[in-house]
Amino acid sequence: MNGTAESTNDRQRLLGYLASFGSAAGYGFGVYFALLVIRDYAPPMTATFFSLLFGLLVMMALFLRPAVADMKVAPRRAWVVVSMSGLASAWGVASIYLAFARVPVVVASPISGANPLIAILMTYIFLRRLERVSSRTIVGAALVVAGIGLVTMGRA
Amino acid sequence: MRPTTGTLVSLVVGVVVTSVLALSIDGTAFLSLDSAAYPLMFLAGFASFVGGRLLNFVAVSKIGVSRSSPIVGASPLIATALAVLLAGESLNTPIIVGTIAIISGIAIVLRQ
Repeated sequence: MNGTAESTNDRQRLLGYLASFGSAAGYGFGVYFALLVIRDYAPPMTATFFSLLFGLLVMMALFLRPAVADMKVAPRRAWVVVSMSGLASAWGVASIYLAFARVPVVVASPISGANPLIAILMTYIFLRRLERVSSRTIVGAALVVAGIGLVTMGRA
Repeated sequence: MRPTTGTLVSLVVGVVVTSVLALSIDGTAFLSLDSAAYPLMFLAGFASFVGGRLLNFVAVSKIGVSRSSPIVGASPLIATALAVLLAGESLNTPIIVGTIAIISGIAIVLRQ
């Protein structure tokens, strides 16, 4: 019994790691395709719109039915939060696409990769009772800021 | 609300807002795009939202945020490698060291 449970756990863990690498590859390739579009075919805001539209169409094809059932019971507060998240992520995608039109991906992509730090900062500001800033957070944040400085200097 | 439902709703909001902005800022380009752009924009949307975001949800549900986030957070390394290998961009030492510092910093923050 224990052997079966362990093997299931191992499989779940392996799937999780594979999905993590797949996700990183997905984001990386997404940036590359966006670069090709912006460099040769479309202005950044138009490219942002169509990328979001195609992403939405594929997500609808996969999840529309369960999503409709979920939406019927979602509280109003969830709608407000998710709509604000939609605005913020559209702003994020548009900003990175605008950056690709002006600086190389090797500069824009690492800097935009620092976004979890902003999320942690916002969580600390708005949910202070839930989050504590540890010494690891400070060391990590210092590394990120130094890295952004180096990448920006490398471009200059 | 499930993560996939949240993603769908947030994408609807994003599509509405960016359609208004794209039409008002780049109206002419928006209406006269080269047909070769559409497959690339499809791939960009598919890779980011289906590949990136959906697999991220799967990863978090299987191994948790603290294990999955540092790996997903390394995506700028892949983007940088593709930009250098396939798009002809060039790297120098400060950019390489800075990229590694950013990714390591994010990994340290998220691993706690």
